[in-house]
Amino acid sequence: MTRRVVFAILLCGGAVRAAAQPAPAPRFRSVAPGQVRPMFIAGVPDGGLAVAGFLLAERPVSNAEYLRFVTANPEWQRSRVARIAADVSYLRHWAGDTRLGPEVVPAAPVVNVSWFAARAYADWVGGRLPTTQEWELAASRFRTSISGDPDRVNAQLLALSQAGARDTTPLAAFRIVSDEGVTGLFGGPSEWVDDFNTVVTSGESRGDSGPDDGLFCAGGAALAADPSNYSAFMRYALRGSLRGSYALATLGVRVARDAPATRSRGPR
Amino acid sequence: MRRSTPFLVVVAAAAAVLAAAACASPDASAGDAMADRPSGALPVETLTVAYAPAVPAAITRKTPAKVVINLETREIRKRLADGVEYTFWTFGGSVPGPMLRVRVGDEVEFHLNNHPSSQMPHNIDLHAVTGPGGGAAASFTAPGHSSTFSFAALNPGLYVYHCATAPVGMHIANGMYGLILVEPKEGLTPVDREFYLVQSEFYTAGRHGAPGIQPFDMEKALHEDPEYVVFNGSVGAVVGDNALKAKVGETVRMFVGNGGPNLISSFHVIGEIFDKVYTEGGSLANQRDVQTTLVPAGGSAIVDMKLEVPGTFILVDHSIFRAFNKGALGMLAVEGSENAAIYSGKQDDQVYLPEGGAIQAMPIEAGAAPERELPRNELLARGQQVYAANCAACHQLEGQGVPGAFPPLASSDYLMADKDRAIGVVVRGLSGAVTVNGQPYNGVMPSLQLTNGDVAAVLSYVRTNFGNRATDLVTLRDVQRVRATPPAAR
Repeated sequence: MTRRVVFAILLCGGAVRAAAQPAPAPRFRSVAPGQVRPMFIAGVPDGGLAVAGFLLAERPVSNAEYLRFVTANPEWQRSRVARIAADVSYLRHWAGDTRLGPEVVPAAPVVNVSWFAARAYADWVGGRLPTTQEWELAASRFRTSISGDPDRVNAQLLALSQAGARDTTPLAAFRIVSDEGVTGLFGGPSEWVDDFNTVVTSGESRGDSGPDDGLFCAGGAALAADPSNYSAFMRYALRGSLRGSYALATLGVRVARDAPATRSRGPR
Repeated sequence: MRRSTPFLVVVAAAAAVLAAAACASPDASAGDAMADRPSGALPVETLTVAYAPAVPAAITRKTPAKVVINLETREIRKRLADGVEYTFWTFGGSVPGPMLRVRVGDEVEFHLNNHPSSQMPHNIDLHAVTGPGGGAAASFTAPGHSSTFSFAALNPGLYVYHCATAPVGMHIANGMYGLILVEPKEGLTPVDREFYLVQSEFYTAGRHGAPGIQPFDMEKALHEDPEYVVFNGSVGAVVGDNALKAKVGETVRMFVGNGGPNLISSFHVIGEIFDKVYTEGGSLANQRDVQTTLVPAGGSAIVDMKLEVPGTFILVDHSIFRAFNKGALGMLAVEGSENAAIYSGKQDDQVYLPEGGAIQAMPIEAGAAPERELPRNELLARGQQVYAANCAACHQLEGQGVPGAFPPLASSDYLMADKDRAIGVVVRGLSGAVTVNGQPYNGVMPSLQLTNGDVAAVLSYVRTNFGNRATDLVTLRDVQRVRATPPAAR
């Protein structure tokens, strides 16, 4: 009963918070504006979608940073969070509500966080989640930093994305650096995006009519913007399988922010 | 339990009906599968799967049941070939996935469990399912989650199942396939042994055999140019100690699947003939006495054969470079007593000389262009060609010969001592003991069927190269003269 009262107060926007450390300030990198050809291009103009420039955190959120978040915001602790906001896998790799435990590397990307939790974290540090197209734009900036041959970039990115998001050691995630200085987009866990549920998929990748027609087995290649970009296929497939409450061992979070000229006040 | 009594009565009645209908015509359609269902709940059982090459036990019940299947999808790194590792996406942790076995008319409750360590969502399309996607949409599952759907096994036969998550080709290429057997009502003809085999390809960035962890190469997959074509998920999976084992006199059945993703298989067992083939894994043993049967990509075949003699019988895809160069090779090791009446093995080995022992001399073709004396440079150039084509094999490229076997021509005292004798050796051959540069040789040099012009050319070449310092060339007339002169008696 007491817990319900406390939860209700907090839910009503109560300003009472435990005495907490200030939110960590992520270091951001500037992602230049550009064109993105979304995976499935029905209805998109030929050149692709224009994506405005924005700021993207240099690194994904770490276990240590997320620990500060749940310490300052107890409603997001593992034993207290509402199941509708995060399923039973939420932070299951931690030893306790506010204890990482010896198995967990503090600097490694946090995983097992739901979309609702990811949004709450981003809001707490004064940012937001990137959109799908923003993330894909940042992930396309690898022409020079991956070795040599631009024709092999897709194959190399695919190899990197297969290299194992299971390996959540800092080295694995941060070794891969984009042209704009963003680390860990490949070689680490996948990352939540704000609009993950706009991927139109029924899970039956070979349906041949209606809203599925971008995704049927042959269409998946024929209608895709870049059928050789298999790592993008994999990311879109993963996003299509998610729900907001899901906490996955291979899915973490990275904070974004509007570029200075267009920064809006307050959470989105 | 009280509630089970009317249920048991219903089942008994259904069993009676089914027993009466057991001699149904072989044209019984799929619709009968549902018609045969008893009203009321089916008995529930949990499926026991088997991992290749083992096959789950034949079904003994004569009535439909509700079968609960739990299949886990997991991404794991393991051996593809010696020194080669690959990150496989699997059903049940193995490639191929386990073999499932149900009976026509069964209601299958399928649980697809995606291991939390998976990077990808997965689903399943069972070709035994009648319904959209074969179950794919209903089973689309994120990592760390589980999906459930049910279907009725309407048609008997041997069906492939595979993952159908985008990009489908990649999910299949990484190893997500297996077989589900839906037994017909009366079951399959009993055999002594059953085996489960699946052929498939792997597309790695490195060439066949390149060591280390090999990533998937999507370009090779698009071009249908695999580095590995294997049985049961890795090179040598059914070879040597892992060979299939059977005994003489047994009738063996192979459930053969083809996971693809691209190639069609020409399945053949070397030294055996398929007594019965259920073409494309259908429910009819529609062909007999087949050497090689096609297994479509995403399809299957069932073959029965009786083993008559012992030995190791090699399973291949008879697109033969796949077998010997890419790994599509397996073994069936059969033990038992020999039967010489069926296969004798080698009975004899003799020398074969169709025209006797003499060296054949083919006549020089009539009507050949008349030869002429060549100028020096042309003569030597031709001599070099003749040497390379006829002499170098034994006397070696620098004329050094092979010690103890072929005498040297380089700085050869024997060669240079007597020009006419040298011409005679080339034209007539030489046998018996000779001493060259102080070393004894006692072999046979055959007479070479060269034109006189070629003899002149090659001898001119040899006598002015390899350290030999002849001042005169061998001419056409020299050769003609030697040829016309009978050899001196020894």
